[in-house]
Amino acid sequence: MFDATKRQFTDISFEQVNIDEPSGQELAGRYGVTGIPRLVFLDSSNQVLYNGGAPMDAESFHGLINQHR
Amino acid sequence: MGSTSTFRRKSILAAALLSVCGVAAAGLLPLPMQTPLSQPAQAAPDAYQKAKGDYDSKNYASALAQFKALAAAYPRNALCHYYLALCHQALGHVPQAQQEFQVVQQLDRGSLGQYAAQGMRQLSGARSSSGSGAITIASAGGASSTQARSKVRKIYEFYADW
Repeated sequence: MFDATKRQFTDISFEQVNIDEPSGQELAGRYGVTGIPRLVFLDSSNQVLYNGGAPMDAESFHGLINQHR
Repeated sequence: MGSTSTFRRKSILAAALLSVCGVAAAGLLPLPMQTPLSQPAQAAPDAYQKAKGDYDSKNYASALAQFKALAAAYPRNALCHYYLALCHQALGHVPQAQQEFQVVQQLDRGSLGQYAAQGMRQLSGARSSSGSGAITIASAGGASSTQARSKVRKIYEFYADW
């Protein structure tokens, strides 16, 4: 679902973060991620637009992205 | 009495098992380590198990309807209200989730009430979703909120191997 969405929204940079890796742990700490799956949306100034649970289907995921485009 | 104790035991077991995962199925809040023993439902183990099963399967709308019925039948059962809050949260119904978390806090002063307080804090600054199945938080992670509508440029998906 993530890869398909990534291909559809080419104006947005997508990155999957493994919280078991050191770099992932740093990012998780920065955004207060305590549970997975978790999504964090950032704008061009790295301001957080969304920090919450991940939708379970592509349609909801796309809808969530479109709320912030 | 047997039905009551069975329901209580099942509630405890279910919450304990799920809490091993660390987070609720919605991926937003931890599940309670303990159930509100002071407010057990009188009966309805089957209805509770079915509702919880739907919640576990991420059928939040269905679970919501069932937990509403359970909460109506057992209005002082904090666990039912907690699951109601989680269902609302998963569906993006922020005001309703906040209302249910408040009810939980009033009914349970123990660990479940603390989880509800955590839920309230998490929802502060959130705005309702119109049905996308997720909650939008305008300000989080220490970032300041702005009225000007910013556009998303980067999306992180956090996951784990396990």
